Amino acid sequence: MLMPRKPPGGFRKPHHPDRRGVSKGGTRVVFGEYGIQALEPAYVTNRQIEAARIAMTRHIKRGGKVWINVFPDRAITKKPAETRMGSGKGSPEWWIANIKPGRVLFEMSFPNEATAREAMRRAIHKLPMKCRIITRADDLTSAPPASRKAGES
Amino acid sequence: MSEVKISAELRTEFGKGGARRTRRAGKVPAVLYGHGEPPKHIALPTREFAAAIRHGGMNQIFNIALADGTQTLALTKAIQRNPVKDTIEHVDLVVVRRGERVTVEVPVQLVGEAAKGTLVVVEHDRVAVTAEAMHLPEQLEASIEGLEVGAHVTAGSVKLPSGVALAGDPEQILAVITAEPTAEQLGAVAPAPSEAEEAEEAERAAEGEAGAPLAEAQAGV
Repeated sequence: MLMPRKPPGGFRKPHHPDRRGVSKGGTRVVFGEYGIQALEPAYVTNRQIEAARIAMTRHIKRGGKVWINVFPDRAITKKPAETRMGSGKGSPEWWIANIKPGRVLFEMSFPNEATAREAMRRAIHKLPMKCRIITRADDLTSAPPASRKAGES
Repeated sequence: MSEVKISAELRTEFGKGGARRTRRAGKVPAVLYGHGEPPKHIALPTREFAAAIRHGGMNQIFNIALADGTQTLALTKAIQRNPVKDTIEHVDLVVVRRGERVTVEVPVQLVGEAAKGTLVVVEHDRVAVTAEAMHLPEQLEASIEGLEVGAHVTAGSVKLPSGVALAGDPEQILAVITAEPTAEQLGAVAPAPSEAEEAEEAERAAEGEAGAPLAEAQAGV
């Protein structure tokens, strides 16, 4: 399971991360051909990231590659059940990645687009927010499809 | 690449309020600069601009006709997009002149099929080239036909049309041919809990044990 070796900045029990706004970076597909992009803010736990990764890799079996673009580096604490208020902050319970809309969480490279899309669809079901599948070709700045180029010339 | 004629009007109001009003009116705020001239803040029709970029790519040349009758050739320098809605929020345009050589990033398309049992990992999908502003290539091609594991495609191996020169490092790696990952490599389970995780677990258990009697005492049990 993904988790930091030691708490970032030395803070074991940070405040809840800010969920406002949209992602400032990591909004495009840069490593693979396809990506899963978040459409809502969410705290994604390391278990959810691992479940999504397993769902993808088990579907494609072999012949592709998966990149995880997010890392769960924030601890979320919880007080034990039936505990009265006070006595300090609870103990770290989960490790989460603070995801904002637009962030690309996973990327994939696979020769067959239909299989890759199905694998990503299965992975999206493991995530706690609305997501969509994007491709490198969707990017305005990428090369136009060959068919369009042929039509223009 | 042929130029696209687009009409623009000078912006009179600035800041986020003005920019939002411009966007609501179906226009995209833009700035036009270059060649030592003072920057001009303009508004472009969103639909026409987006269509031109979608068909011609980032290096589309625009012939911008301003409301005061002046015409300027410009190249897109940067586009700010909304990452969720994919709408264009702002555009930077740089003034170019006919016959001027400019340096732009051009997309590279990998053509052909690598050898069986390989996976092509794209490191960079664009290369910087210098070319005459009115004859910028829309895209370039590099062949991966029959490449075996361990081979790589560099910027130097991209086929360049006449009049186009590579501006960046010819040794820049564009794609690497790797062995197809096996099911075992892909499904490799996450590493075993680290020492930190184990320490965390132990601490949590200790806190849980300590917390339970306290809770009971507080509840009056």
